[in-house]
Amino acid sequence: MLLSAFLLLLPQQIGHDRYVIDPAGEIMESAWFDSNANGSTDLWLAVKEDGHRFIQCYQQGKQGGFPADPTVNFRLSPAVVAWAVGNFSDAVDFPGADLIYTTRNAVYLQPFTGKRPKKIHEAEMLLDLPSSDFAPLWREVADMDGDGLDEILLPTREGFLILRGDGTLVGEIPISLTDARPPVASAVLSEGVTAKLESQDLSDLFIPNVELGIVDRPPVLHSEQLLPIPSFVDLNGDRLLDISWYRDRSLHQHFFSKNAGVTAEAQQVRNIPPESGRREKHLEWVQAGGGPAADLLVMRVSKGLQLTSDWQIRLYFDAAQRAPDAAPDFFRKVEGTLVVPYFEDLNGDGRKDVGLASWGSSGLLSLSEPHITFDFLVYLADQEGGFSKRAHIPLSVDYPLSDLKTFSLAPAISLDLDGDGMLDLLRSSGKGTIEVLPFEKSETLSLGKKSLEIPADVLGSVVEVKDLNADGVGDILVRRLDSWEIFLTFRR
Amino acid sequence: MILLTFFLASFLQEPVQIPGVPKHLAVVDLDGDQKGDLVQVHEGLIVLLRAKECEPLRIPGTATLWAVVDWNQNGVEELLILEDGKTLFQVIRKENTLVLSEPLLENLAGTPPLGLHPADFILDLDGDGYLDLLIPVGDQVRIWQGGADGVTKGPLLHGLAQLELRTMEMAGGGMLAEYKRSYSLPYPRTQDVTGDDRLDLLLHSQGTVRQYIAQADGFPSLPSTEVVLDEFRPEFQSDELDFGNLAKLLKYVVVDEWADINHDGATDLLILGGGKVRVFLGDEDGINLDLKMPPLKLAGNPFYLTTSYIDEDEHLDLILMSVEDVGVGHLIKAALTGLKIEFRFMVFKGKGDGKFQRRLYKERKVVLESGRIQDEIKKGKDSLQEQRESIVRLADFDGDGVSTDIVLLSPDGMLSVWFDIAKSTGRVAEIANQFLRDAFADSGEMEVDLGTLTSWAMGRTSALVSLTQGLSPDWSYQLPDSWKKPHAMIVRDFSGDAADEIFVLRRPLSQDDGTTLASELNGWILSPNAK
Repeated sequence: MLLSAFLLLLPQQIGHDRYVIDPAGEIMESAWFDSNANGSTDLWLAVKEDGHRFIQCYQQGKQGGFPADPTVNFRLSPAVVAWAVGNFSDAVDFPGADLIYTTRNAVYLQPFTGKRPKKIHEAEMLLDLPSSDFAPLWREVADMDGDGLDEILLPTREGFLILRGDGTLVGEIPISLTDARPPVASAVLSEGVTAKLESQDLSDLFIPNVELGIVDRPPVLHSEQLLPIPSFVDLNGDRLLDISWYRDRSLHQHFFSKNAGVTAEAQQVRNIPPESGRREKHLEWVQAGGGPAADLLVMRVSKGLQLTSDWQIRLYFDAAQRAPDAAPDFFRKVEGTLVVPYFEDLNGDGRKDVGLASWGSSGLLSLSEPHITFDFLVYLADQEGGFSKRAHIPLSVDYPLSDLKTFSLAPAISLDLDGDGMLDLLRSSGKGTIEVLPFEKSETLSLGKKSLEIPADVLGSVVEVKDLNADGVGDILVRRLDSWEIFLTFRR
Repeated sequence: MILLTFFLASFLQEPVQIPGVPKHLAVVDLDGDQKGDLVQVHEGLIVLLRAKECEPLRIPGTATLWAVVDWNQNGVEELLILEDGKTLFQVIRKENTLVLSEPLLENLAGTPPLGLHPADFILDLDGDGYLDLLIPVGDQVRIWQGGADGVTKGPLLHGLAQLELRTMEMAGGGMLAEYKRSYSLPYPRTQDVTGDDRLDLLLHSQGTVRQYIAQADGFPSLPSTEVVLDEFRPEFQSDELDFGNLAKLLKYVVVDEWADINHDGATDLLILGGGKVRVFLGDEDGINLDLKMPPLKLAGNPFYLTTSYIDEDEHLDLILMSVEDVGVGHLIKAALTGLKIEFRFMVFKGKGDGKFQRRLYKERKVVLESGRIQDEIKKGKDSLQEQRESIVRLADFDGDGVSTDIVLLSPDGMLSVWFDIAKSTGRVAEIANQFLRDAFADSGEMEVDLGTLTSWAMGRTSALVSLTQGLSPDWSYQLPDSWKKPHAMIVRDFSGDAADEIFVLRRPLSQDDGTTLASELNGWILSPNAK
């Protein structure tokens, strides 16, 4: 529903229409995917209402814009555990999205036409019990082989299963499940948040467990099984997506080939050595520069309970194609409570720079009022493939705690929001809005004046930016507890 | 004395060595001789240990639960298997082979998690002397109720089991994140809430308390009463959020306390929420929301309520805990420099008719003062660690059928036994009550540390151990060879003389490198009773 339109105050004449998607039930999951292959991205929701679970699609109309009511509303079978949306089948009549459902021991495909789901594979799944309150979304969906159709990776009790939409097996990767012992004590703090006190080795050796228990008696039954979440990524630069996963300091790399698919054995296993006094905080394949092959990001923080940690950020270009012991191409240390990296061309010189958004605190040991601090540090890429030694700091903000009435989570860097073709920097005003500051084309780094202020005045709302209508300008999505607010761009 | 006990104990010990590290061990009677047989359950096989030439049993099914329970109610435990949530068998020894019995129960229609899991799913829930079954059905649980005529289908409970399905981690981490399926079925809370001597079932889930009042023929199919605690929570207003006083948020906390405050045998309900205490009386049908007492309005930031006997009369009194205004800055500074927070404990005298006196009976200011939070947490962790590494068990060493002895295995391998001191295990409430009585015995300001508060709040941790405080053990023995954890202990009757023996096991260090853990378990069976 079009609620209002507000125009940006800017020379680019970009305006936004505001839509609110507020389903009657509770939003359990959200996904963005083009449902009808028209180039516009649509909103998919898993919603719980009146004790039932539904998959809803809010499809952008021909003129753009989102409807208030779902275009499609499927009631999920009680047997469905989890779902995925992707372009899994090549139905000519109905190009676009299809749904995949997993149950306790099978995989089903349902075309967007609403035809009955069809079983495409049988396997005992890791997620083996349906919940009446939740319908998790599988996110490992991608077109691995470049044929225009997506593949899906699913965790089973044997490891990973990689499937095409017609049930063809692309590969299986055997990985043993990790079993966790029952905790000594646990408490549900809120829905989905459980605090646990780990038990000792051999504590579950003897059955029955006759511990008196700390808070309560030990559970009647406890079963907890884990598998690593893998990454779909082009490891070797051949434009095909490979699979990589991590466990016990080993980074496994399975290269995809059109003939053999994905092999059970990893072609490469890279050791991620421990570092004394530090622990890994983030490990991810990224596209940060170098060649077409993926680059490896390794972030570590100092161990221990502290408000501010020493962060180490290492980046290895084209890592799968180089010796594992090669020196990192980027290595910086930053202090902060939370550090989030970005790899984007921030000054318009065609090279990807490294941006580090660092959150911290100040004024804690003095009599002055404590502040939350935000610094954005930029290391510009140079022509030689290196990065500036010293950080540019285009933005540094202090938020007094007492003034912090509303605060939204937003990415520091977003797609172009004002139509100038450059990326923008976002900052929370601390007063219920997100401010947009455009990067300017420059040999060094230059940040323009505030070009836009987005209302996001609900505590804990989460802001995302995506180009939903394919006009090259970012649309702003504000996720609230039970609704989405969408600011869709238009050009005047 | 120590030498003597060592001599006697070493005379009585029986060494046990188990190759490999089995996932689970159990002591069960497989052949009806009333003696405990040691079995291991590992990789889908049940293997009889300490016996020659007995063929193992491959456990059937893809989603199978197994339990150790006194199914035959003859004082000795048997091993039972629930194949795919449908059919219940007993594992028995037939000559030199372990086999399944004829089905004990069929068509139980469960869907437990895939895999093979130990579970205490057979238990006497309503205390009628007949075993009931808790059968997982997805994220719900079906009660099958035991009775004189066998087992009948009971209610399907929603909200008892906790199921977590994770396909992404909110905290990120990239490839450090994991998919997760976690299923936990907590021990159900049962209590005689109507005073009819039957245990009723209380389910506390997602802000709702459901009472299933047990009848002569078992639990009803639907809850007898539902209390939606969220109804007592004010609607959250984000503009009320004040980082200068986070304690204001406590008005959104809803706390429930269940106790018989009017002496009619039925449990009553006290709810703290929105700055008020409301009281609802119970009757033969459970909590009756129409039987409400006038609410008690409170100032400050109350966040906890309980009932206890503070004065000398026989009526339960109401105790409330309130905290001073606390800002975020206060908390962050406390983390770095030290913590000092003031709490108020308030007592309102109970009248014994479901009402409390409106005038404050007693009040104490409690100053919680500690060092840096991270130091305190570390200290707490160290002391908790020692407690976690010790193993405490109740035992019956005199064979009278009642477990009143306590065995403590400390992390360094010291075994200590106290005979006949655990007459009642309902000590947890007593410890908490004593703490409160002591707290209100004096007036003025009281200083406590985090440790005191923690052990009060987590009383179960030390409930058994506290019984032994100040008492020398009646029997003790230092396990040899520099005993170290990881270790385990069980107390069972291996000899068939009705008296328990102690079975201790550890995983020693490898003899190859002396640093990694060996692929074996070894230990002893000891009998302190033989002194």
